[in-house]
Amino acid sequence: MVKVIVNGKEVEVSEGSVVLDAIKKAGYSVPTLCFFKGVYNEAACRMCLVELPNGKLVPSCAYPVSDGLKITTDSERLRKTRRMVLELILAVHKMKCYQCARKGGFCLLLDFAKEFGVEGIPVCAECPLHGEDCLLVKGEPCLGFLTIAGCGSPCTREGTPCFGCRGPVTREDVIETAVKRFIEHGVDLRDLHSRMKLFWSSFPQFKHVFDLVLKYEKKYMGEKK
Amino acid sequence: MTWNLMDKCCDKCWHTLEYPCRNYVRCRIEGPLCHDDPECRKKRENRIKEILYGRTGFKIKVPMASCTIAAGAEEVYKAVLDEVKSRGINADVTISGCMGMCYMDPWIELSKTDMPSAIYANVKPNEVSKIISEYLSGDVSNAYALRNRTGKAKGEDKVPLLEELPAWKNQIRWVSRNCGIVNPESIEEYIALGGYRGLDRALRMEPEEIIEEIKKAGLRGRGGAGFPTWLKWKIAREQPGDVKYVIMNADEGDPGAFMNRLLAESDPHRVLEGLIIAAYTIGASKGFIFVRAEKPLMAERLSKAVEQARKYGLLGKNILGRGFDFDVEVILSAGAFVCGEETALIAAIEGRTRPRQRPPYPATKGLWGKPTIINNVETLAHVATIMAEGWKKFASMGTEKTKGTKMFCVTGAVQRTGAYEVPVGTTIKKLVEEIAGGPGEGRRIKAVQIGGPSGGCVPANLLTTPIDYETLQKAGAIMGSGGIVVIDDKSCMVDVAKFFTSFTVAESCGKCFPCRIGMKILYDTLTRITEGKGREEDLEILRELGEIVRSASLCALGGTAPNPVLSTLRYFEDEYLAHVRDKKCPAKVCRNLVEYWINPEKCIGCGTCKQNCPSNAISGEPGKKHVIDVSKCIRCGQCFIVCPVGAVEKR
Amino acid sequence: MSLEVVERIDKVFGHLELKLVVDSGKVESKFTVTQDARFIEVVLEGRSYLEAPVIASRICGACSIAHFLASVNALENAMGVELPEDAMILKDAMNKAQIAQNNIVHLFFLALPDYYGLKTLGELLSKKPDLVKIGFKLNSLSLKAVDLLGGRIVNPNTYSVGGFRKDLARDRIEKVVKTLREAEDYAKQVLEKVIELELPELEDPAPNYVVVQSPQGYLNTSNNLYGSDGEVFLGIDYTKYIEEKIVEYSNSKAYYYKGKVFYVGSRARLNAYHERLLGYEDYISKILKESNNPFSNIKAKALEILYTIVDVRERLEEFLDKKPKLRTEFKVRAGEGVGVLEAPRGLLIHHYKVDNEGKITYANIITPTAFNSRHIEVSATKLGERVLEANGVDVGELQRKASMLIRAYDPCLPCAVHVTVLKSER
Repeated sequence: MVKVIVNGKEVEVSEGSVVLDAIKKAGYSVPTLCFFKGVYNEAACRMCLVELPNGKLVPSCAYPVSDGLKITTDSERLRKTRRMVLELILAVHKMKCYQCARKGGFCLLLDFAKEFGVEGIPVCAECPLHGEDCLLVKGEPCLGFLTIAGCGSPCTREGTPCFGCRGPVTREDVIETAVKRFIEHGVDLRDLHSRMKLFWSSFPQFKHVFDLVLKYEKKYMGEKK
Repeated sequence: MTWNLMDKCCDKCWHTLEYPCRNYVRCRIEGPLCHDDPECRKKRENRIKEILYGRTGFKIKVPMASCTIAAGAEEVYKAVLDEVKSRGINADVTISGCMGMCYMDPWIELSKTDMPSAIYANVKPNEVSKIISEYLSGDVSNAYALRNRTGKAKGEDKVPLLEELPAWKNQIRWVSRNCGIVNPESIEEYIALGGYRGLDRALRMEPEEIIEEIKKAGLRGRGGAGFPTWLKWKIAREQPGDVKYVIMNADEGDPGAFMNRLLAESDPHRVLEGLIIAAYTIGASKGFIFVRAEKPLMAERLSKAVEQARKYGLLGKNILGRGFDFDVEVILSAGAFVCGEETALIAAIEGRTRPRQRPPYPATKGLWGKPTIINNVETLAHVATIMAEGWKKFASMGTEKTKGTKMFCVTGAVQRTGAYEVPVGTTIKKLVEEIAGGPGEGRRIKAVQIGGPSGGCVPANLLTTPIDYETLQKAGAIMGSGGIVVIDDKSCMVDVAKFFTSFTVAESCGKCFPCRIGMKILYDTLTRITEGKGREEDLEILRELGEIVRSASLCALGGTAPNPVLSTLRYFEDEYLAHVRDKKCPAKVCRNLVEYWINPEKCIGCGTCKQNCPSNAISGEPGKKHVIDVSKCIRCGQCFIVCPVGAVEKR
Repeated sequence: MSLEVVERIDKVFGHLELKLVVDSGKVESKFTVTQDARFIEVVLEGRSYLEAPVIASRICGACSIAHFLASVNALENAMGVELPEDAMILKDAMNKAQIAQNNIVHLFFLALPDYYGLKTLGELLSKKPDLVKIGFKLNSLSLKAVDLLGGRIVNPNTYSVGGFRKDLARDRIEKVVKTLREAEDYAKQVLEKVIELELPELEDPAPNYVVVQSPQGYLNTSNNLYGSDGEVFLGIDYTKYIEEKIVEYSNSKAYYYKGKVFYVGSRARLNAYHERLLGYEDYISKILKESNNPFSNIKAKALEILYTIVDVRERLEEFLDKKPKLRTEFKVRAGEGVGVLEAPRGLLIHHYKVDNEGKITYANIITPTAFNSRHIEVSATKLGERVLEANGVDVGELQRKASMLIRAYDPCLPCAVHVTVLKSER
């Protein structure tokens, strides 16, 4: 058994275990994304970083314990780093949530996005209506494609199309896919604009979202013709 | 066929590979030791003389390493052979490794008894005949340098000695002592020059004593991180278990660093000797040489060295009768920068691809889960040299924290490109300006990029920094493997950072997110800036993201990859600001930020630019001043290149 | 002798100010809504019929369902949507659940401490922990019922013009029934406590009211209004019976029913339809003893809590065994419609004009607190006079009683705001 000090709290864990075990035993938690106990501990996602006294950041899922090891699981720097890492992950995430198998909110990324306040995942990630059930496919002007997730998608769960009350996703490719799908499914674009203006028009910083929507509308309407 | 120094001298010596001689190495030069026979002694002396001065008394040496071959050494070698054959000159034509003074390539060295050894630089095949006849007539006045003086040849006073050359005189040739002298494909020559003495000495010592010796010498890994070599060995030695491995990392990947290739191609036996010593110290019975397939000559020379060593019982079972078994396998790597990370290198040998989290360090759990040490070529060459020469000499060089010498490859805007060995602690200025000759007249050093794509830029005002692991780190760079790229005022620092970032983006293995995605975003941001689309917030993004990538990445590649960006941002923020604020590139490199115009005072109205312009942006009648239409110009730079009078200018 | 008592009332939704001017034995009161304008009606113009209820429900977080349903009613009337009976019942259930929840919040968090001589809920919690804990429990249960019926706690999303979006699953209705059954006992306990409370004596100076006509039962929606003089009139004719006047000192307007000051709310509902409440005669007879006292509004509210909880449960139990039809097809067409609804605080009117595409061209919203504002003033004047008679000029007592009175009305100001441009120059 070795003694590990997690956030000042002493715990004993068996030799050969990793820092994450000690953290769990001490009653703290760190976010983990790629870690899967017994299957994968290659420390690729870097969400579970913890801080050593010398200022080094190490992944708790793969760092072996040693006697007297001191660990900090939460600090300004760690939070910033984790948040940034999450932002990086989301930056290359395809964001095709409308066809993701983890529909209805079973998305780890989304959980962390909520925890760290990172925006960019559309409501479709939480919406249980995918494929045929999608409100857009049924012709309703649902703004779920364009709206920041985190609400749990209560409206689409009840069959009401999303009104975008949480504000728009500002990523260009997400907007592009959304507009493309709106046009594909023949939604009246005037409805769409009216809906977008409902909650978003009061924020000047969302103007470029409107610009992008118009830009891609032009593009895809042209293609359709 | 003459007698080979490595072979038995006579039948009185009863040693075979099965019953190896404990004094084999010493016996080659000082021998015979197991019996007394003046005849055998004479045999050795004659052979050594032959090796060193040539059988015929006239030796022509042509360097054959990748670098010199690239510069045309092969043609020169052929020309020399033809010349010797056609003129019927009685001469030994041999090859050697590279001296590390690339600006001289290809050079040839002629040495004849009673004549000074003369080195001719930048030789072209058609000059060979003239050089040989001149030398044979006793005239060395056209030589570039001399190795020694005899006072007998004509024009000897005008030619400087090699030691007097500015590029040579500030160097201390410690590991590179044999480079350019020894024939890299001959173990015999290496032994004749005192090779394998270190191994001989090491095998007479206990492993702990060797560790102590290296510790006293104060050798630190030359691969970049500067981890004390003795400590690594000690940890590996103390690990339980019989199976341990040693790996020579000959997978040099930094753009601009080639000292390992140079050492391995020019003096392969020295690095092999170091590897054997390392194996003996930690108790490994199997070693690997991990060498890039992209460097075939290096792999060939190392394989040859291994073969020769095996042939004479320096590898294999019961080495030198000390009961120590060791063999080496040469592994060709596919070539990935990330293999500079030990765990990635191990993964590559195992057949996997990516680095893993450390600890456990390879010294405790490495190749196939066994204790493994990985040292790079230069470190092992140092080990062999220290063991041969003793720690005192080594420890007398260098700084307080880092002893000995280090090879640096100086490239970029300098007059004398090359790999130079200097004591650690030499200032950058001395290395770049005195040894490498600086950027030349009318140009100014803006910064020095040290440590390859993982390193950082040290600005001109910090050139007096002594080169050491700690001082460089403080300046925002790293020693890395020792590549130094000199950047002059014609380079844009944002562009430089972009170049190095593009390298790490391509070389990132893609395992951990900060490195894979973070570096890509850094690169995209830099591209935006160089294209003139940058915003002032971008600098903050670069800084913040760089810091995150540095601290959160899995391996050392990601941990150092943002260095070029961060260091240029630290020292050359004004250049970045000029890009984002004024949309101007001060060095006039970034295409989208420069504007071409024709200086009417210089224009002669020849019309060449008009003909070459792909977008018809230039107008003007023949004989009259031409004008560029900025709105049509696509900034391809053709007019700038073709203008005969340099009237096209950037602004 | 002249005295101005300005009371900025706490523990109400929003910001208001009551000014009592006491001048030589006479009292004059001014009820001022100081809240800023929201321009909801302007926002509504040009919106599609699908969006309008969503916007309307954002008027107020406390009674978002009321605004939502009133807006839906107005639009359905305008476009002539004929709802199936089941949908009507469920819609009423939603409204009732919300009335129960709002009444609980009003009683426990705002009004009750006054009647125990305390200032805040915290004090009440330390004095009467059992009662407050029941309140908390009741609140969370009723919120759950609202959540289940409306889709979420505020801003319902299960309904849009034409009916419910989805069939309510059986287990969901079961859950509501179970929740309400649990709440019933608590509601009874609360009612028994509240009904025994001693109210400050005050006689209503203007005992007129207007409520939504309930065709049968209690609190059921119709399109007609019912006045205290016994007249039943169409909701769309509200302008003929109810006149509005601009009040210079307030951001709200003043309303008169046939030229008389009137009140709306729980007390009005009870006074109008108490004979429809079967099985509650004991309680009603106690409450009606003071039916002319504006303070008795809180007792009416307590009764409503019990009634709505029982009624919604009974109605939903019928749904368990059938597959209700909750939606109807309709055609979007132009029209004008008024939705009248008994919101928790009283009569709520939404009035829209819709064009051919279902876009709103005109909107008018009048809220209970706006109707009540004039009545609050006259009651406060009366109360001031009573206090003067009994205690002389006692500023503390005046303030205490006045704020207590206002809280008894349970005003909700954010929605009561109307901006009138008196003079426009350009």
